[in-house]
Amino acid sequence: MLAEKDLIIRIHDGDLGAFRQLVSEHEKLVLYMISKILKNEDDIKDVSQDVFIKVYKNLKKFNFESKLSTWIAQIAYTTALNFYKKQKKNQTEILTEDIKPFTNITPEAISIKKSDSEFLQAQIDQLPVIYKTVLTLFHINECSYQEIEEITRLPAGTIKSHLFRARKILKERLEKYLS
Amino acid sequence: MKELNDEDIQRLLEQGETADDSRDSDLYKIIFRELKVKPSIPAVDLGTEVIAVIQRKKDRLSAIKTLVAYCVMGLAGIVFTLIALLIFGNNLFDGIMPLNQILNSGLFILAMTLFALFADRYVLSIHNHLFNKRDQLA
Repeated sequence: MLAEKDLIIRIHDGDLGAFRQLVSEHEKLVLYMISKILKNEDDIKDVSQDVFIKVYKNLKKFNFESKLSTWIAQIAYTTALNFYKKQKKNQTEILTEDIKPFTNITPEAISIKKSDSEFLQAQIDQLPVIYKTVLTLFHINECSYQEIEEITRLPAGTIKSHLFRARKILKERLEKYLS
Repeated sequence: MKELNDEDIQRLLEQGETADDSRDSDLYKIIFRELKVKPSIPAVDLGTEVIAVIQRKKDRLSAIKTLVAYCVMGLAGIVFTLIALLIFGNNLFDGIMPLNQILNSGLFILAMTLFALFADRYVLSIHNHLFNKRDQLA
């Protein structure tokens, strides 16, 4: 496995095999993030492809000030969010997106759910995009607060508050579901 | 012992420590466990697809560059001929060869140029095909 710097030097020299290695090392990070923002499989594929093409084009601008994975995640986040905004045609929606009230779920619908796990995954999917993104970055991609700050360009306080609120909403819903 | 609030429980679980045995802690433990579950992602060979797109863009750019180079050469030839005609007048080619021979030579050179251009593209596509296969095998 090539070190990050050697890999980038080889890509600068036109080695597409080295770029393939970079893609395979970071594709899961990108796919996990994008799949939390977008739902359609074709959109996820297209946007992921677009992300790596942007990475290839802009790799000369990467200055090693942050981790390569953080830089790639930042591109993935911006690209996916722009795609999502274009789909929704309302740029403010992400910030003002309402949290769907739990009362919308009927007792019948609850009884159909097979397990706590399925119930929780459905609830996570209903959270606003920004909540899902920070949850994915923190819990699945195991990013630190500082890395999430760099990726989303949100202040650390806002990230902490989003994480706290998202988990609290999930706890309240799970509590109602189990009672 | 004072019961932990939501914030305390979340902070403890973030740090990998076990919170108390209250109902809230148990709920948060389930949530933290569920949040770590990796989402199902589409099975894609992103590497191959991205490299194919990059390769296509590179080929297109190289074809445009080649075309521009040929256009510049052709234009330079025309400009050179016009300047020569301006300097030496209409009798420029009289001493060298008859007009029909000049036309024949010109057409021959054009045909050779086109042949070279197509041969170059063909060799390039074979080369790319072979290298893509090698990359895929690697």
